[in-house]
Amino acid sequence: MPNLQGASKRKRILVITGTTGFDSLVRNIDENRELEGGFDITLQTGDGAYKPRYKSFFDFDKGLKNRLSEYDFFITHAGAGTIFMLLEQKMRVLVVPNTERADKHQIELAQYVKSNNLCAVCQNVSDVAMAITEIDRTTQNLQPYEKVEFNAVRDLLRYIYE
Amino acid sequence: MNISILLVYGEGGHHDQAMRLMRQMQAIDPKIEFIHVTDTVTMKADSIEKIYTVTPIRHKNASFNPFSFASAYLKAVALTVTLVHQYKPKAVIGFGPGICIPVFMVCKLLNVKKRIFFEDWCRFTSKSLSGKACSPFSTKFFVQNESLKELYRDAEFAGRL
Repeated sequence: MPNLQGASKRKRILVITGTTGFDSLVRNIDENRELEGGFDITLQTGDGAYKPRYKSFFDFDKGLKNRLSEYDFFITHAGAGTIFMLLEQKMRVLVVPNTERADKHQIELAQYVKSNNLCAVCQNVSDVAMAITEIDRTTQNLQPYEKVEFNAVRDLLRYIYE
Repeated sequence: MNISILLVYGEGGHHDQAMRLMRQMQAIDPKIEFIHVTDTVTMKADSIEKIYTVTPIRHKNASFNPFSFASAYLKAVALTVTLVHQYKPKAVIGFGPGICIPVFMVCKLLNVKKRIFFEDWCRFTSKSLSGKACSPFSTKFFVQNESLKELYRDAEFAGRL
């Protein structure tokens, strides 16, 4: 008989791969059945070709920002839109830079969040299962995201009108 | 008379930055008419009226193809000429990626006087292709990470969107 109490305590994780998708990350997590014992994982697949077989998934969700509280942790590609949004909402985040893309700029943001201790970072997709088992510890003592808000909107409007 | 502004952006983070700035500007002046030029269809649900979609100049997962590049480029040029004549925008604001390049060039040629570019917020230590290419055509250039001011001499840093 399954341990129902244990099941309800499983940590809820959402994996976010943006609009592009990130097949190797999604596949790696989906095919790892051992993680299911401790984690309730949902995968956002974007335009990725791989369709998960073992875990729940969806491709896009415009209202995602309003449902963040349904998860304990987030795993995300190093897309700035996603990372900044999660940090602004004070979420606990593990970043896996997507180096499969033709453009390599995700590395820069991964380095930034790592050196400022804003997110946990897993450099290699093949290590992600291990990183998930440690996610509670590695995302515990992160620094709060202190953002310098954009402060030139009025100046910009004045400039356009002049 | 209400003013029009061309807003040019791609998908993902480019789109997010554009929406953030647009909302901040609308909060101050709700009458501005934003004309959207984008290479993404992922935000069709944002209830934006004036939106024009173009083919991406360089697809992120494909290798460079000069023929599709030229074709996408010329279509973007033609669209921009049409939009500038139709709406007579006071300004163009670009957020990358490559789609911004033809739009900024045409806007300069057709004398759209204020051309504002926001370098991608994911850039900390290197320039994006569109940032590099658009900076000579811009009249105002923002970086969103202070570390980039070293690479862009005339850029302003005024916080992150």
